[in-house]
Amino acid sequence: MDLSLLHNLMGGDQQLVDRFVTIFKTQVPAQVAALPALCEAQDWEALSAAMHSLKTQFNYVGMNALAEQMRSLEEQIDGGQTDHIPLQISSFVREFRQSWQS
Amino acid sequence: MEQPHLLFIDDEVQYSELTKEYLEMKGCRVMLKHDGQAGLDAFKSQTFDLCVLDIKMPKKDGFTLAEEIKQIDETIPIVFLTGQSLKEDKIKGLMLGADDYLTKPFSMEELYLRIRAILKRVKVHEKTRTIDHYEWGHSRFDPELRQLVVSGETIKLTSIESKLLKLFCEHQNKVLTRDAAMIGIWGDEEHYRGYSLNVYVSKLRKFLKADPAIEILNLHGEGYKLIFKSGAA
Repeated sequence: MDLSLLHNLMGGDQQLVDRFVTIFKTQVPAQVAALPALCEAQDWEALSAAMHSLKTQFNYVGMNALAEQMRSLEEQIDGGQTDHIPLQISSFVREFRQSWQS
Repeated sequence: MEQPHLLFIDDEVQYSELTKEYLEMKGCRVMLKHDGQAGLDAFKSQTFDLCVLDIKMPKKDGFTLAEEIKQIDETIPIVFLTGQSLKEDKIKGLMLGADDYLTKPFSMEELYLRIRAILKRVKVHEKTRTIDHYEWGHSRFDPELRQLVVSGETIKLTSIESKLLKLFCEHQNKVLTRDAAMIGIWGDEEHYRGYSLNVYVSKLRKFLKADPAIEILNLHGEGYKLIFKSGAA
C-alpha cells in the first residue's frame, strides 16, 4: 500500500487516513469475496458497481495495478462484453487472495 | 457564512463517510446518502444549500438525479464527482446546470474550498438579484402592488397576505418553517402568532385554488412547502 495519495487527499489528517485503512482492510476482502457469486448470477449491473467501487478504493491506497484491472473489467461489463468475465474474475480473486495473505 | 446544509450522495461508502466528517469539521451540516433514489428522497424532505453528486451510482445515476433535483429547485448548486475524467461527462454535467466538477480521487480540502466558493457566489448573486414579480402557471404575483392575478382574476392582498406569499415564493420548492414565516411577517415568533399564520395560509390556498400549477403543502412539525408543479413557470 502507498498511502501518500490518501494523505494528500485528506489534508494530512493521520486519523482520517488510519480510519480509511482500517475500513479498507475490513471491507475490501469481503467485497472481493462477493464477486464470484455476482458473476455466477450474471448480475452485471451489480458487478460493474462493485468494480467501480473497488477501483476507487484501490486507487486511494496506491494499489494501481489492481485498480487498473477493476477499470478494465468495469469497462468490459459496461460495454456488454461479458463472455470472458467469469474467468477473469476468478483469476483476479485468486490473485488478490494470494497478495493479501503475503 | 451560516452553517451550510449539504446533500452528499456517493455510493463509495468509506471515503464518503470520512469526507462527510471532514466537511462537518469545517462547519458544514451534511446529509450523506449512498444511492440516487435515497438522495432524491432526502432532497424532497429537507432544504439544502448545495448538492454533491457522484455520477455512477446504484438505483439512479447522478445525471438523472441532477435533472430531477433541478426540476424541484432549479437554483440549487450542484457539484459532480466522477471516477472518469471523460470530456463528454463534463459537458453533460455542465449542460445539466452543474456548478463544478471534481474527478476522483478528489481532495477533501479542494471539495470544501469549491463548495465554499460556490456558496459565496450564490449569496452575492442573491443579494444583487431583485425580483419585482413572480409568475407561474396562470398566475402572477406583484409584491409591490400587493396584487395577485389567478387565471385572469385579480385579487388585492392585504399586507400580511402579500408578505407571506412573497416568503413562499422566495422559498419555492423548499421548506418554509413556521418560525421563519412568523419572523418574516411579524418580526418575531411568538407562540400566539401560530393561529394567525394558519388563517393566512388557508386564505392563500383559497386564492390559489384556481391554479393547478401551485400548491402549498403542510409539512408536519416543520412548516410549509410551496410547490410549483411541472410545466409551471
